[in-house]
Amino acid sequence: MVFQDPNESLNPRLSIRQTLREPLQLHGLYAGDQQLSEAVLRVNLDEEHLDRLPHQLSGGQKQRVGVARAMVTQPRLVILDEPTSSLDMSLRIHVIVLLKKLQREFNLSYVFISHDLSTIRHLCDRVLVMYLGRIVEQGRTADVYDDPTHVYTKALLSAIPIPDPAVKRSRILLKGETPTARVLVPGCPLQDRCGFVTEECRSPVPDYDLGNGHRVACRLARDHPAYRSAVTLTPAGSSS
Amino acid sequence: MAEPLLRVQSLRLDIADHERSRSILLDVNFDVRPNEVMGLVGESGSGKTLTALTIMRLLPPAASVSEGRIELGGRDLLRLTESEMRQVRGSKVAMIFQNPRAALNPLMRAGDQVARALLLHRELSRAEARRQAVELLRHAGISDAESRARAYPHQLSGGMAQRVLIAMMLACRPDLLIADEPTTGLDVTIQAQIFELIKKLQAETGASLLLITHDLGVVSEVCQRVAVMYAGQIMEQAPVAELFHHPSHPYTERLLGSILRVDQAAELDPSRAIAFASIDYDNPGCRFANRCPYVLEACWVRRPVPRRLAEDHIVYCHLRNEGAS
Repeated sequence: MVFQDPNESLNPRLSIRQTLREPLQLHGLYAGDQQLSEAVLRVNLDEEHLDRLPHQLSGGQKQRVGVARAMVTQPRLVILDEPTSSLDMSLRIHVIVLLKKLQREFNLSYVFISHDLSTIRHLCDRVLVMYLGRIVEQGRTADVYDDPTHVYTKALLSAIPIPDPAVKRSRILLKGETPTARVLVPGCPLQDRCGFVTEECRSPVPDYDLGNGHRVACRLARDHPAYRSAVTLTPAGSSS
Repeated sequence: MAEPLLRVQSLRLDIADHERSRSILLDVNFDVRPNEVMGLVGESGSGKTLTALTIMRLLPPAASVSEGRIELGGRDLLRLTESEMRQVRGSKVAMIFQNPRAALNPLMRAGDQVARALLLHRELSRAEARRQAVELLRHAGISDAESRARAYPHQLSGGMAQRVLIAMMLACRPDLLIADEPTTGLDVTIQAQIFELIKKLQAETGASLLLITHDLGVVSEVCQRVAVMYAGQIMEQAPVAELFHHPSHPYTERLLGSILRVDQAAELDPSRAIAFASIDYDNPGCRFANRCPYVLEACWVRRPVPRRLAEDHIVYCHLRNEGAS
């Protein structure tokens, strides 16, 4: 796993060499320093960084050590929790390109957790949109971004400012604040903030299938031209 | 062209660090005109927050201004005494901060904090100040303002706390508002609400807004003009459309090349982005030199003179000053 804050997720008293060696030793995979050198070179750091302590590295370098540590044991699945959210824009693009390269090289699977919708668009094959503990829309990244169907997804995408003065868009503003997930109501989690809410939204919402794995838990999806069928949640998966 | 409301001239700010002192801001020049939204954009370490704190005269003790002027309505704020400055803060210029909950007093009810801002600058009775505070909170888009006014900061969400600060900022109708990354740490949907509110209030009150951000999307949607900062120096300033369509400084060009757009799927090209390297505050020339793909000899020697490319479009780059180098 790669964690959110590179300043908090490395042990300040271990050198990068020790940090990278530990998971290998724990799994009995350690076979010499060659492995460690490869691990740092892979994330575009130098061998000289191995003998530094975390405070001697910049934020971007620390984040790459986090990536190197997660991958040093050659796992098949890596979970990345907001790995780019503390990075500047100019660094972010390099980290994404690096993650893409490693994913292809080692045939890895990623679960990439993020609120950064631009990064997800450029890195992920599929995307799940969650709100208050429920998946409200899922599908291939291009389908969800080009054709957002749940009101929440639409609002989320329209809330991102576009860095191009030539683009003028209409924005769907949600009312109020994100409520706490402690009091879950039956039905659509967005019902109190949605401008299109009806009585129907107060009871459990099925997933509407739009093909290609694009599924939307919103009654408006029925009006979508690609609408096929409603998949009712199994009792185990629903909270009602 | 109207006389600027705020004019920052050859500002230099030094921070003492152990034995040596470093110029964190060097030769910063820009102005904000009446009824304008001016953006100040840059990445971490660019000095944009320190520029705002210098205008407010709220600098940490280690920092000192060694050169320059900050004129607000013709008066140099740097020459004012602390008590004169206290009169200016809130009534002429007010600021909202990055972390709204940390900017509020945790032991005081939200409404009382807004009322206090009113009492400091105006002759009002306590009851009248409290009534106006509730009115301001309502104006900042807080529903149920009466009861929220009695809440303590920890009972407010980040978005609500920022609305309380916005109400405080507006309390004395200042001519200049400074917003430093006002939506960092807020949800995307709340961020959109806050920007709509700031834009609406700015238009209503006719105040000028200096908006500090790292987000070029926000700049594009909210600002009229923008100054790009890197390592404590202004690299380029221009009207927003001009900057996006004709970036003239290599840093601006690379910064625009680093953008990931949410509305377009494009192949990423890191060669168009900014190269890895740490910020070089010590180069006597252009501080971007160590990361610049087009670096010239002169860039290591002296700071480029500003060059006016078009109305309001100024760039600090030796590449644009051929003949001078």
